[in-house]
Amino acid sequence: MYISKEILAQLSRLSKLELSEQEQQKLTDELQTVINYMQKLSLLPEEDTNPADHAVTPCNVFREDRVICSQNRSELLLCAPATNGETFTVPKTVD
Amino acid sequence: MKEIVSLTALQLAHAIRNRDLSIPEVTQAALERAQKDKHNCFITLTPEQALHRAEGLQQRIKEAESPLYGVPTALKDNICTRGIRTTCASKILGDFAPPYSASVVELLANAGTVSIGKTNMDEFAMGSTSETSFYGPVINPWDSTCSPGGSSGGSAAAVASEIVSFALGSDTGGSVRQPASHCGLTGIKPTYGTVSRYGLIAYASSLDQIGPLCKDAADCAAVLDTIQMYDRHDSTSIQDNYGNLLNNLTGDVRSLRIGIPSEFFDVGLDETIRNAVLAVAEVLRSRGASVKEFSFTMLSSAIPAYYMIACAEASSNLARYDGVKYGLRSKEYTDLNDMYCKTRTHGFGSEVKRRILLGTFALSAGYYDAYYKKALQAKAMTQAAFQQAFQSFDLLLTPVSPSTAPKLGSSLNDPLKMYLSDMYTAVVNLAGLPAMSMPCGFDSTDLPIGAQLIAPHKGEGIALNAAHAFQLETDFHKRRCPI
Repeated sequence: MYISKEILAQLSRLSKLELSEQEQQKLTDELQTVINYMQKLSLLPEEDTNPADHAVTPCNVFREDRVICSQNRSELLLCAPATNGETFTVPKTVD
Repeated sequence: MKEIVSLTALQLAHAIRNRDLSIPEVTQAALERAQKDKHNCFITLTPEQALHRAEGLQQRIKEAESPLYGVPTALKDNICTRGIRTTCASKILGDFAPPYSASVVELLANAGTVSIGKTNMDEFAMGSTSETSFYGPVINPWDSTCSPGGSSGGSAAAVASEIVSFALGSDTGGSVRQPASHCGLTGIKPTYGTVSRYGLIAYASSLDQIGPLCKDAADCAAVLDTIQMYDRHDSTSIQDNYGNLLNNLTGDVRSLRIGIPSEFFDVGLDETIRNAVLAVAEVLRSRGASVKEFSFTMLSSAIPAYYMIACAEASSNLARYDGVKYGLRSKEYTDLNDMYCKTRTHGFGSEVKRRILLGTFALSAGYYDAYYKKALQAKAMTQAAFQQAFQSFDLLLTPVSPSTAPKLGSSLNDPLKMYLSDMYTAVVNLAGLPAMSMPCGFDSTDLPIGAQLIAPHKGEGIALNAAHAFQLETDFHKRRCPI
């Protein structure tokens, strides 16, 4: 599997990361080395093994359908970089 | 002062209950050492809160029930503490102060412990040397030219340098066990689902577990008894009977069947480490355990499977850091998408970016089947291999790491070398099993060596009891680093 500049560019777009020229070169080489090693996975026998999502079989958890307060609004807004006192504020998204 | 700091957590609590020491006295001693710390163990110290709490606990000492009442501790900085800065050692979490505390924090508080601060770590727990922190690397108290291991290096160094007698870390691929090994401590990763992840800032949700780093197995048992509990806030939490680990430490290992997987002792393992770990088997054999070698064929796929899965989950978990609800927001941007990109680009360090990109690759259309799905199949096969092993054995004995603590800076430019050092520990996280690290020797430069005991599902008690038996016969765990 060859990690081209185009593949890295696509990955960085998906990851919402901007990479400098220097970073692109370095990361291309590093990811190539790592992914070459990951090829070991292809050496595993071609069995009909179900992929394991969980180490422990998940069990659905139910509770009574009651409305309970989860977090205090003003405390949550205190964490945010920009608010209008009621909500988080972000750059306009829709014209 | 020297006597206070040398005590284990249980010894300290005993002295407090006997009124030989007061809680404000031991807390002050811990804070004084923390303030003089030369190993960069802490990102945030909370002296006022700690001393205020210590005074309150001392007044209520007659109500003390927990065996850890009054004991100072420290928390890895990916564990949320309400109102106290929690950074994950990352610029992107800036001065984030969570609006809630992790469940483990509440449990330790209910038990009467005193947190003195938040410990340094690899950024977002991604690393094996505690060098990727935005706040600078942690230094190994045993050798100032070496890393303490990672990612819970700050917690390990804080206990090893006797600032606190125990600390909490988190373990996704070995991040409690490996720094415990590199710092001469006893540390345990519990069975997945037995310690709540509510309030643990996620790296890889199917692998992360909080665990203690302590001076001995008894302290580990006491801490686990306190923090293992069903938690309805964590959908992966397991209902079980918890709280009997300390009481069940007898040191009796007669008839214990110990397996030694030969692949863990193969080429690449330092000879001194091999000999020290195999010597553990002899000590346990002398106490009545049986020891037998066997083959464990899934070790070679552990690192590819672990890193594909961990990075894939990390790429999803870290998508939330976008400058909207908490943490850093870049000052200059043109639109929303640009705000996301600039915030993340300026906020994350290089190792985090590398793992996000690797994880994004694994989950991308066209590569998903060959990498991520294959990794999940390897995970299933690893679980099956361990299940089969535990039909013949009660415990598995392995090294923790192929080498002792690495020199600072030696791994940063070689990510694959750093990843491969997790081989013996990460394989256990894939199966969700409990495993612990305990000191079993020293190399020629006096750096600690750790042995790993892997137990079956919910078998923490078996591992802890075997470690306790070993620590009754030896004193590796009692050696303190030169300070």
